Amino acid sequence: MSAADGLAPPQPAATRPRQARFKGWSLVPASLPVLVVVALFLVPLALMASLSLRPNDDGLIGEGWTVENYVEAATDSFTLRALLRTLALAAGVGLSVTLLSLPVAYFLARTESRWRGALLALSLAPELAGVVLRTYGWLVILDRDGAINQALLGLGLIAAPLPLRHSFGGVLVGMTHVLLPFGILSLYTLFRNIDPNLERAAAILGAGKLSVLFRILLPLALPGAISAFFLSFTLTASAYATPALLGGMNFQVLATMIYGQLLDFVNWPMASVLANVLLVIVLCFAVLGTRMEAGIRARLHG
Amino acid sequence: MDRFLSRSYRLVVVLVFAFMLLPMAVVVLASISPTDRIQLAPDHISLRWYLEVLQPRWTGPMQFSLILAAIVAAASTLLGGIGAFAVAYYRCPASSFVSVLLLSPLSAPQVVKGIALLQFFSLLGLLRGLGPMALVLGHLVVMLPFAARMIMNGLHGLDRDLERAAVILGANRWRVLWHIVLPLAKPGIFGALAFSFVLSFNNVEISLFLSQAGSRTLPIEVINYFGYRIDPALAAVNVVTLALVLAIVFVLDRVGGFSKLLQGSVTR
Repeated sequence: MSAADGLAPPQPAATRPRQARFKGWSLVPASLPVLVVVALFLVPLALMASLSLRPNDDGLIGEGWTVENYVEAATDSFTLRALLRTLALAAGVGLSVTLLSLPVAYFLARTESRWRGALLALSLAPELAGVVLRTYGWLVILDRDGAINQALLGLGLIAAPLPLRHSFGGVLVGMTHVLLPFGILSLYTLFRNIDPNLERAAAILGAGKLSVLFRILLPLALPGAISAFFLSFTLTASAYATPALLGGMNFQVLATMIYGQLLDFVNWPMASVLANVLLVIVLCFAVLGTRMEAGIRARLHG
Repeated sequence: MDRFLSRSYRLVVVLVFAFMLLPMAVVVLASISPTDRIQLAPDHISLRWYLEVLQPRWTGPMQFSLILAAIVAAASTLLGGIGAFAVAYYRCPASSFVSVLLLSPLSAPQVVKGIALLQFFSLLGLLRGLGPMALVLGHLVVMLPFAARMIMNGLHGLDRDLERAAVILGANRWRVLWHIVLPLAKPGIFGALAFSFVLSFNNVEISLFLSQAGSRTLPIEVINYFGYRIDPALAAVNVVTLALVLAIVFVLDRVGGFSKLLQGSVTR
């Protein structure tokens, strides 16, 4: 656009050719971010996919092509157990994040307290703390001689410390804590968009709190709850730090196995196989979630 | 029944808030423990663990992580911003395809991005030579889509009539960009800066694969230390870094005012 255009009579938005504003030299800087994504994401991803089809030659990448790695992964009981554990953990965390976020998000959306901004900030603050700090906190709480075991032993309720740290439950608690802010934020936005007059109208017409909850709030919140579930599901399936630190050596999920295959066993083809499996799982569940959410939304709003 | 329901609802809300703050409170308590065994109900407090934070063992990685996060935040906001403007503002050719492409790394788990990059760099024989640059590039590919999306969200809500008004009043395209568009996009841009800074500073999954001797980030150093022991010095390190991150986010929010965006939209 030249300076003369500034003096030209304005045209209505619809007839103004948008693409005319984007030409010539400006394509050069604009292609930079695309180049970064292609060179540092898509090309390495394609390389990884191809490596999963190469034989492992004692820590090196062998010659030729094979599907042997996939067969090996699919028949190895250790890998299958890790896969099942990943899915079970993701489902458990998805469920607990969704269930715990619902009341808190509703509270934050409806409260008229002047502390609302502060409470909202407080519920998002754990996100700033990072996974390592929060995991450290849980280690102190769940460890063999950690807070819970000290308290229970002191009260004489148990004779020996409970194995809280290296357990499915411990990782579930830690992961739920990591993802709660995401769930709260997404459901908060949802509840803010539900007209509070619907609840008032129902109450005036004689509906009890229980029927307001089950016949108005939950049906309207369902699409958001589903998207919160699938978001936590995929983020849990992808998580490395919490399962590794709270679960310990014997608690293997796909993400920790990928790391182990790559850096401990130096089996790059197998690491690539597992990474491909994880990628496909995450993509499938993300698509499934979007589909389900859209379906329910369509039924809800006709 | 109604009363029971609203009481238990309140109780659940309080309990969830307590649950969220619990690990943070525990870390703070652990950091002022007088002995090297963590006590949650100490008879007196001690600040000696905070002196330990000043040792090079921690200040080194801390400095490294801060510089890394600052570079990554600046680069991903700049590149993500260029992408966001090209797609959402200038409607570049094939803009919907370009925007899918720019956001595509978001759909892959970080572990997958980490291993793919590690294999890519080492098969090209670049890993040694890149050194800390490997970390910068790895973090960049994760944060760029985040930044692009935040800035895109800011641009979608833009009132294009303001820009037209400026053009009618005789402003050229640079003045429109500088005086109208950039100020309106400011919350998104500063949000992108703050988020990519925090996510890069706290990142584990990418750093795990791309950290090498001489370029260890603070979270990786802390995780390695976990291996031997859990002691109050670590708690103090964590408290200091959290305070630092909070301060940086606070300043960025003061300048850019992105927390308003957060209340209205969902960030993933």
